[in-house]
Amino acid sequence: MPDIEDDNQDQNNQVALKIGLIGDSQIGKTSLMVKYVEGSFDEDYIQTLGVNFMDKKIQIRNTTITFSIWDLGGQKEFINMLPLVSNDAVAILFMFDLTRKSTLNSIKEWYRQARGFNKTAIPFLVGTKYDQFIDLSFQDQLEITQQAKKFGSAMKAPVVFCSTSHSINVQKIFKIILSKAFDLKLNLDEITNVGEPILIFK
Amino acid sequence: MILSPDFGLLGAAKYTRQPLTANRGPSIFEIPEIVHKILSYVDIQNTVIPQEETPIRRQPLNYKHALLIHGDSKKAEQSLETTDLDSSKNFTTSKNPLFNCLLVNKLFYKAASEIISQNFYFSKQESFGKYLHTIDRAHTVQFQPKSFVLHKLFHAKQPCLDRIQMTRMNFQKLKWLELYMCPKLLPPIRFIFESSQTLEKLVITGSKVLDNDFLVTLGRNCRNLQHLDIRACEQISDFGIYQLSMYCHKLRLINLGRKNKGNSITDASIIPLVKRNPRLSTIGLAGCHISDASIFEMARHCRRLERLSLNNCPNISDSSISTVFNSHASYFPLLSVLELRFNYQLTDWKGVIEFKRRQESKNMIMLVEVCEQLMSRMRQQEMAMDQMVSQRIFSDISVWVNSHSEDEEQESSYLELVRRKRASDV
Ligand SMILES: Nc1nc2c(ncn2[C@@H]2O[C@H](COP(=O)(O)OP(=O)(O)OP(=O)(O)O)[C@@H](O)[C@H]2O)c(=O)[nH]1
Ligand SMILES: [Mg+2]
Repeated sequence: MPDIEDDNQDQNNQVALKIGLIGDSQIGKTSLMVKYVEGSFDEDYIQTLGVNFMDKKIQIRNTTITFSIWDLGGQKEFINMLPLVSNDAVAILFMFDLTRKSTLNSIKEWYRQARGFNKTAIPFLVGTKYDQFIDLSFQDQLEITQQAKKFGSAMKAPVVFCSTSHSINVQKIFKIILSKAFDLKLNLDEITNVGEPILIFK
Repeated sequence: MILSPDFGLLGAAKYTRQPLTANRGPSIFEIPEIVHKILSYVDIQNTVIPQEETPIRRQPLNYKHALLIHGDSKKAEQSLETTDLDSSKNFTTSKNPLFNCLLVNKLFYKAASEIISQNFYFSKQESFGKYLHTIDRAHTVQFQPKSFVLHKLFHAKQPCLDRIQMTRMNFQKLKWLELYMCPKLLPPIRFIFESSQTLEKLVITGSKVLDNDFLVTLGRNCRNLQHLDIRACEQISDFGIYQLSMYCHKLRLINLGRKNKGNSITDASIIPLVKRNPRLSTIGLAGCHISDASIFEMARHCRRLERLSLNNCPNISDSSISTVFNSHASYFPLLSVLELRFNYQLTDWKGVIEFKRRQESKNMIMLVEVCEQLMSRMRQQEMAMDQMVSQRIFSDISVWVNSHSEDEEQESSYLELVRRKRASDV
């Protein structure tokens, strides 16, 4: 459950949510976190050694929402830090690179491991680098999209294709997380057609 | 100076004087100042003057109440198991090694008896009686106690104290005078006169004989008084307290709690008392008939208050309690215990709840002690408040997730990408 606290001093309510980012190396986990928190994108790859985390605060009227985003380096040697990222997380984003099928296939194993530490977190399936994905052949796009939908429904997880470099569906991921965490109605259309930046969350 | 390896008090007893040589000074056990220091530590570590312990939290009134406080049946049962603080501790002095020190040698005897005579205390009728038999013969020691404590001598009668008054004991160094539940004893006036410069702490509880005249004399003479606990002394009334408040302005603790005769303590004495004693950190007024006016004055003047007991004060109302304890007010910044048991007239607990949460958000411990009925009333309001808060949070979040703020990604961004792709395909 998200941490809710009524801070009387200034009549401000605090809501804190921990979110874990998990998936193979070089798929764009750190990029997504930095983009969401700082609004910037870097072409260069810097490997994450272990665990990174950043806070993003959003002020809405009398409520401050704090997303604590935890990002686990995708190299196998960091797997022992998985509990750090998944324990107490309200949502876990299982991420893969839309241009590399192997990273989607790894999701099964990531999911199995993370579930071992946290059974209540809301799972998300997030495909990255949508901007490069649309350069693939229709056949490849079809195959990957169908596979992702299949995984998504097996995990009972929303499915989102995003592009960090082109700001597609990055904000929406976090809005969907909140609407799921608090069971709120979301006035947003789903996107389901092959080739489009998929948004399935209902 | 050389310390023998078997350094210890009993070792000292076997010490035999050796001829002084040029490089060997006297043993530390021959230097009066050092012996005095050592024995002072023995005293600090071993002497336990009997007194009531402040409970960390009051015992629940019954099982349902305990359940409300602790939330699970096991803890509730535990909290109800009676722990008699007094009987679990043994105040006998015979085990105090300080008394063994009397037997070591003359120097030790002198130092030890000096230290022992600083604290005069009895918690057993029998030993007090024995002592009284010997005092006529004890002309040698000039008793100058710093503390004089009689603890639960329910049956001791006034002649005992008068007898002590006749001895050479003098009270010019007395800081602490306590007659705890010795209902028939009143300190002879000489105690007060002699300790007028030094007396800081006076505890006389459950006394049938303590009266306003005594308080007036006390106030006039002992202006350094800091701690005045006269619980359940039902002869005391506004007049005595008012008079005292004219002279005593250094009070840190005052306890006037009582079961009967609550109507003789009212705003008339409490308002002047709190106005003139801004250093008060503990105020006990259980059962007193003070009104909201006293509470408002306390809030204005007592910035250092830490504990406030208002159990069973029938004349206080929501009007003061919900104003003084309130999320916007900043009264009582240091308060950490607030007792409001049996005040069924209080219905608005929102302020108290907000106050408690604010103290806790400052990482302070804040205990609100209430009885079962008031606790469930408080819980209900707490839940209603939480519900309001959650509703506000939900509506705020709902606004955000459905808003399209400026930093939002443009839908067109992906359409553009798709167009670019189609163009390159052609
Ligand atoms: N074109 C494109 N490139 C991206 C996108 N997201 C990330 N990248 C690039 O992919 C590379 C890897 O990104 P990172 O965010 O460092 O990958 P990571 O998943 O954190 O990798 P590890 O830390 O090793 O687990 C970087 O060069 C990024 O610039 C995207 O949406 N589009
Ligand atoms: Mg990384």
